[in-house]
Amino acid sequence: MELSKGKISAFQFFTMLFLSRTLTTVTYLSSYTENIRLSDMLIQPFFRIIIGSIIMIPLYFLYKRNTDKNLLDIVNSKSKLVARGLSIIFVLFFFYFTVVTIARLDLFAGTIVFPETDLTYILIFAIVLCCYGAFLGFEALGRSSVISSAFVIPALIFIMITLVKKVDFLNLTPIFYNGVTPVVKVAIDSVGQTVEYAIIALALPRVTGNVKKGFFIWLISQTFLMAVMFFFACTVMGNFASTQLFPFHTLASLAEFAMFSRLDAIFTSVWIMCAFIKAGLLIYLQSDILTTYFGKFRRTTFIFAIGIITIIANLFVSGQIKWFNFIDNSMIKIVLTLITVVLIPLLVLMLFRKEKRVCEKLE
Amino acid sequence: MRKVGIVILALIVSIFSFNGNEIFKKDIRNRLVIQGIGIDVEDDGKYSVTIQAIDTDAQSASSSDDASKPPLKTFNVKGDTIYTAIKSVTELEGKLPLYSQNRIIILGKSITEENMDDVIDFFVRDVENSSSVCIAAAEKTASEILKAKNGEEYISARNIEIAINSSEYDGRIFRMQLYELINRYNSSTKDFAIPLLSVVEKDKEKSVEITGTALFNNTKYREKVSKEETVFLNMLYDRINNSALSYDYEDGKKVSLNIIEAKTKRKVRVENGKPTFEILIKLKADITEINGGVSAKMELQEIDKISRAGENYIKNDSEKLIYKMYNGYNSDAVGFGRLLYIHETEFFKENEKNLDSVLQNSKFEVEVSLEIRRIGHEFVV
Repeated sequence: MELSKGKISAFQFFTMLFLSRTLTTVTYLSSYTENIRLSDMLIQPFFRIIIGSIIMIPLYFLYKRNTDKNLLDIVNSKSKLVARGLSIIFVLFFFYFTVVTIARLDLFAGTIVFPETDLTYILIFAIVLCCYGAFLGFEALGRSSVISSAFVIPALIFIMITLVKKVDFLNLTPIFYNGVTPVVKVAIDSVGQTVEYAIIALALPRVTGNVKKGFFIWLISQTFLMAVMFFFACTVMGNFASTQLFPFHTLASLAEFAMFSRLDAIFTSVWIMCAFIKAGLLIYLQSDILTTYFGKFRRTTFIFAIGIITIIANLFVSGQIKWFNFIDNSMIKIVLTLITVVLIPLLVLMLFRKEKRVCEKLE
Repeated sequence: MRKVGIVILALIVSIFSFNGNEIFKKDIRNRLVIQGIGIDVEDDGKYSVTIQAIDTDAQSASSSDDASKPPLKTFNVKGDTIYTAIKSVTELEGKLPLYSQNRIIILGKSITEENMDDVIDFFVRDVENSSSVCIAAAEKTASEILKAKNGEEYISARNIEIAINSSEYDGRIFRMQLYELINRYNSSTKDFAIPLLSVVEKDKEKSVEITGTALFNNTKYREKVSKEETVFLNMLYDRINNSALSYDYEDGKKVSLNIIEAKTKRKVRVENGKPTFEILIKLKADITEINGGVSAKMELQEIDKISRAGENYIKNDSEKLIYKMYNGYNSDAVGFGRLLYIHETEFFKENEKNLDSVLQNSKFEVEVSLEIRRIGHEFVV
């Protein structure tokens, strides 16, 4: 009862995760960091590296023992019932993040792009596209990530370069003005926003090549991207950044190059591409888990069902800022991330250790 | 064939979904393309909003192909808030206002002297507003600026914006965009500067001119500095790129320079509870004119003389401006308070509440280095 066998390279996998996390970075909402000064935002990504590395320790030890099975497969070899229970937790977790991802896209489109337009069709169309991505499968998503990254990374670099002449260092603030605690809190929030840790927990055995190297390159590159984007947001916009719902989009709208201005159009295309990869991957993982552990139906049927439920959930959230605030809650995300990435692998590890001791005693 | 079908279906869906009702109801012919917004306050406390917009009906009827000079029309609307006032233009024109193409926001004296806090939110909150739109203050009313006519034609907001944007080549203009203003507005000192506009009438011809820069303290207008002083304001703020400068360098002799490179470094240190600001202005310039006849050659000492005289001129006038700003107008428009906040944080925290008096009692040391790069069609002996 192992998850389906298609494998991708470490480069493809971590590129996919890079794009997925880039979406969270570029759709960063200023409401998450209301108690933190601008320059501290430049520091917090580095706290993220430390926290992100620490929470991955249980998974590291788990996969050190088992390289060909994922977390659920390992549990499944001991208890099918527990594996099914845990698979539901993961499906709900990924479903939650799919809804949040689409809801953010909806908030962006509804607030910035088409403020006076009914977004129902756009929403349905976006989810159908993501389901199509999931239908194409893990390998196809991996390949499209590499192709998309060839546009996304140069586009982001281009936007940043055009902003260089608007940098004003007077917009920086003293570091740790309100102490270290708020910075650490924001870093923890940021880790909670990273669903990719849980994706690693499940999909790592399906990755070939140097995974350890890939993980650290991914962790450092997305932290670096975050730090660079915060640097430009802080030094170009200063306090204006905190008045904007999507500060990085506003930042892109200030970018100019020769006769071209308002490069937010490029930024929006980056956003859409990353959203397709992220939501497609999340829907794929849900369908894959369901097919493996509740395999009465084909994967396509599960994708269809997940698509319908995601559309219903997002239509419910769409256009209601109260509901968006309720679901896009950083505390929920932190708790869910800790459960899936730290607690479950830790329990499995403890179970193994206990079993090992029993075996040793018996011997 | 199936794939082609899917692509065609996707295209049809995208046509309808990505345009929604815009395609049917809100195409450009049904929108009032706003070019300039001016805000004043009436005696009864209501906002008087003057809108300059492109007259799309006249444009389509006109045989002229000059797209750079679209026919304009102005409206004056009133409301309890900026939004309700602007929206009410629909009653007059039957079109929905579109302010994403707005070029400039002009604030009348009644706003800058009294309640700027109440008007700024609309321009930040409403997503149609561009973050990079120019902000200016009117010497009298904003309405007067946007309704000014030269002959039969309105002086366009676009031209005013172009004039303000020429600050890149003319240091006598202090440009301020919306995002910069809000940045300063939300800072601890809340002091800033914006260009000041006025309608000038010469030989029965009207024009809108930038008459100087308006200095603000705690979001309230304090005083105007002239265009000549604005050059030093820009230098102190490290915002100067390119500008003309002229001064006397010898009895009766005047020299004109074209500044081609400028950099200002600012430092602060606190000694005995008193901040000292060190300002180093480094300039590179070309001599463009020397009055007093044409000469074919210039002595090396004369270049030095011009350079030293320029340094003294800039130093003296910058110091005068600093004194005026802090002791006369009580405005930290060039952000020395911010420098204190970044580099002397503890001192700033202790003195945040009486920052105005701290800055008034601070010491400012201005150093100028003026390097002459070219002297034109002359050779040096």
